[in-house]
Amino acid sequence: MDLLSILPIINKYLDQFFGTQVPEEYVSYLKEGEEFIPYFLGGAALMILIMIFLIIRVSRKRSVHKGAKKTPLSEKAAEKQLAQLEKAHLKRQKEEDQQRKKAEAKKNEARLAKLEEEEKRLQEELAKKEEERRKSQILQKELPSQEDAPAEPVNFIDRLKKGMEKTRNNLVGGISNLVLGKKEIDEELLDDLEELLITADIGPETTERILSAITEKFKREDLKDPGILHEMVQTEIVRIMGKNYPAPTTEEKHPLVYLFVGVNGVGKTTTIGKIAAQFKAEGKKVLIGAGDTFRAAAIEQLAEWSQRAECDIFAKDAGSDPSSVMYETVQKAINENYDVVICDTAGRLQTKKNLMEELKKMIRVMGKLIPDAPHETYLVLDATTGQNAIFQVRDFREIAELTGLIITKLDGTAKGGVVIGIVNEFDIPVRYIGVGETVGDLRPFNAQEFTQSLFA
Amino acid sequence: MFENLSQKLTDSFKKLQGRGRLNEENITTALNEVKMALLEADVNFRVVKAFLKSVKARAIGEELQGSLSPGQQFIKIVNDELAQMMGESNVSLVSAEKPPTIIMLVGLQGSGKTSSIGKLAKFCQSSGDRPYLIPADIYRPAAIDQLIVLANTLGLPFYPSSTQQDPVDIVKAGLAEAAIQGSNYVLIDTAGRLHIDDVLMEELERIKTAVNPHEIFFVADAMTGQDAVNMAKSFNDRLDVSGIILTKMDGDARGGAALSIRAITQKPIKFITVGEKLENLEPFYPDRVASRILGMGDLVGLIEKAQSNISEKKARELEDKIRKNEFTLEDFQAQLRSMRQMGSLKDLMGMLPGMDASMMKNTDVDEKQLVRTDAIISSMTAQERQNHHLINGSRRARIAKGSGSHVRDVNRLLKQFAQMRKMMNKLSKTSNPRKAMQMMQNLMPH
Ligand SMILES: Nc1nc2c(ncn2[C@@H]2O[C@H](COP(=O)(O)OP(=O)(O)OP(=O)(O)O)[C@@H](O)[C@H]2O)c(=O)[nH]1
Ligand SMILES: [Mg+2]
Repeated sequence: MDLLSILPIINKYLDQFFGTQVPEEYVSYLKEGEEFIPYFLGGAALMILIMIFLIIRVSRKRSVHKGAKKTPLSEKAAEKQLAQLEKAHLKRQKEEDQQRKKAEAKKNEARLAKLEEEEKRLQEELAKKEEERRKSQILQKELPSQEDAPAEPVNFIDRLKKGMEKTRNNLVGGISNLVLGKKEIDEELLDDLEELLITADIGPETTERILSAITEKFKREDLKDPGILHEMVQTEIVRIMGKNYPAPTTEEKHPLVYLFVGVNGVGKTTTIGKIAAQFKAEGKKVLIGAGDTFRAAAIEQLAEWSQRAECDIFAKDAGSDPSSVMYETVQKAINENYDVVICDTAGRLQTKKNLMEELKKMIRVMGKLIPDAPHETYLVLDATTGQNAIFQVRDFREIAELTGLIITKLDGTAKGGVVIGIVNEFDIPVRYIGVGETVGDLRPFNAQEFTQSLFA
Repeated sequence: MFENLSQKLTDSFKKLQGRGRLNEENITTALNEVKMALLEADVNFRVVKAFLKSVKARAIGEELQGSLSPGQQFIKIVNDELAQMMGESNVSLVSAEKPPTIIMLVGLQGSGKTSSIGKLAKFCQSSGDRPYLIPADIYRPAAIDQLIVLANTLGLPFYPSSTQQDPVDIVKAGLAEAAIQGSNYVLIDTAGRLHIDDVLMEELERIKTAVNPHEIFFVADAMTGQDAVNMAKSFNDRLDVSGIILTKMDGDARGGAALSIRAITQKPIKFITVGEKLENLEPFYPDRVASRILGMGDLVGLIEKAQSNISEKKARELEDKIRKNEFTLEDFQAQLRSMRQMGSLKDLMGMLPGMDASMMKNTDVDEKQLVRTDAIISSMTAQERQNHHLINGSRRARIAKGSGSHVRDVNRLLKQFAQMRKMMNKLSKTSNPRKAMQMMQNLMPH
């Protein structure tokens, strides 16, 4: 990793904060030099510098703060003022030092007097502070009523709670209730629709896209009746989510190898248990591989699921190399003629480079035994996750060729709407949804159903 | 994907020059940018609306100060308001008058309760307390085992629960056992459950009634989306939780759920977890999370880290050296070491405002490289470290041998060091203190 690749960010940063950029001359070193400065050295250098700047500026800022005037200063004057203040600061420190020494000399005789004095001073200060605090409180309280004079409760929480009530009442019936009694599409209706989409975790970007597509269509076709709004939004979402992608079968691939990946706690292991049970019910010979050798008791957890699904499991000791587990699992499946292999992996945040590399290696070693394995790689997403799911897909996709998504925990109140934007952008199908914690709680994904549940 | 919010706000105030007041009209675009940023960060829609209203009320009528651009002034209002809403910082763990202090963790499936118990236990342990662990998740396969593994790793006593027992019985028996052990903290792990699962929510109420915990933490995943308000509200309504733990903050989620949960429960966020290791538990700092939600980095955190490792005096010395081009290999090594103490290079850079963690994801550093560099510098003599020009061919060979590397590694390091030094020197000379100061004033909480 070389510094050049993050240069734009560094420059933007330096420009914003220090009004400077990485010198041209240095950039050309990076570009032309036979050896790039590695990121860690260049980055370290910059960080050292930035931290030094920060420490110095922060203390400067403190000293400036005391005597600062509000008039804007020219750059030179500001510099000068900074220097002066610094000088004054040093002088003051020196004086203080001297005073302290003197005081120490007189310490014994002056002790009592000094203590008394100190106490009085502190008390005065306290009183002053208290007074100030009271004043500022009064000011703060007066502010909103002066400026805005809202009829609604000023208190943030009351307002919020009131808002929540409204959400519940308003949105129970979804869109159809929104349009009830409306003659045309107005600002308020669009606002409510926005809320509906956003609270389903569809995200501001996708929401905006959907809304503008619809309002445009209304304008273009000169539509008036808000009653069809409902249908239009749903049609749009079903269109995005409803694409059909064929999945490989055990007739085509034998053994058919599945790999489950995802961040921590999304439901990988549980879903594997459920899927294994389904294959088992179809009469397949199923092997699951305990690729999470890291999390405490992850192997025991999968072992319990293999019992529930009545299928076989391959596991090694906790702490062993997950790649070797993958390799031996697939090896065993080939040797013993299994139909389906399902591999669990440890949860990993997509930002952890080393863990993502580990995943890459797992996939590589599987490929040594079966060139196109894993045939299906599923990224498991938790329906309660918000916009970060987009990053999860984006980053896991760089490491593994994702062939499908699984949305878990849809039995709660979260809607998982973020996948709409994901499917739209990355063109990866949703294969299954998880709706509970027992073996039977896994369903094939159905775009129609999913869309309806968004607004239920 | 996300342009820096401060940039966007600055843009939205472009037309507004000089003096005047912020008014309804001239803040509309800016408010909309803030709205989008908060929604991208997963702050609940209703919370965003209420928040914008507060910001608006505070901003309107505000006189523009020449020293800050309108955009900067607006950010400051937003940032202040956000930090204020986030509540007090670093509220510590309660300790019961009559030990043991009983702490119970509750939350949805997969939010990170069990691992947080491990981290809290370690936290107690390192401040000299004696925690006792009670696994009361009888539902998820191997959940009890998971907690027992953690207890064993920490060398802590635990209650050997069985999935055949009722959780209320487990907790009561565990508590009696903890008393015998003389433990002064009892940490109870409960099964993950949906807030709409009436039966299981009632089970929590029964546990609460049975043992009267001093703390009930609602454990929430930092990645949680819009539904955070509903979950938090249900758990709080039924259990009157005492605080919140926000997990998986080491990812790149902006953590808007923190604001939603805080707003709806009014309970303090006490801890965040930042990794899978047992020591990855940190106190919560509202201002930091506020700027993270806004996508503005964590300058305060960085400054704090820096200050705890480099004194102001040292910093001035170093700046002076850099300006005079006298920065030595010895200085470099010392700085590398203190930086490594502060965290990984990537984490540190990620704290810079404007450096979205997602931008940094491909810039992971091979920590081994740092170790190697350190080793090479360590094999030099004090003189060589003071003056790298001394290092000729034979010295290079010696250094390579001493550090177990190749001469070409030493060559490369020296060359790169020279370039690096040059760059630092240039940068330190051209930097514009006024601009830097303005930005700083703007981003620092007051
Ligand atoms: N309500 C509900 N809970 C689920 C669902 N899927 C999984 N869970 C629960 O979520 C929790 C985490 O599931 P796991 O299967 O352990 O998740 P994981 O991704 O394997 O977790 P790690 O391996 O720790 O990263 C467990 O308590 C599961 O029972 C679902 O569809 N609905
Ligand atoms: Mg798992």
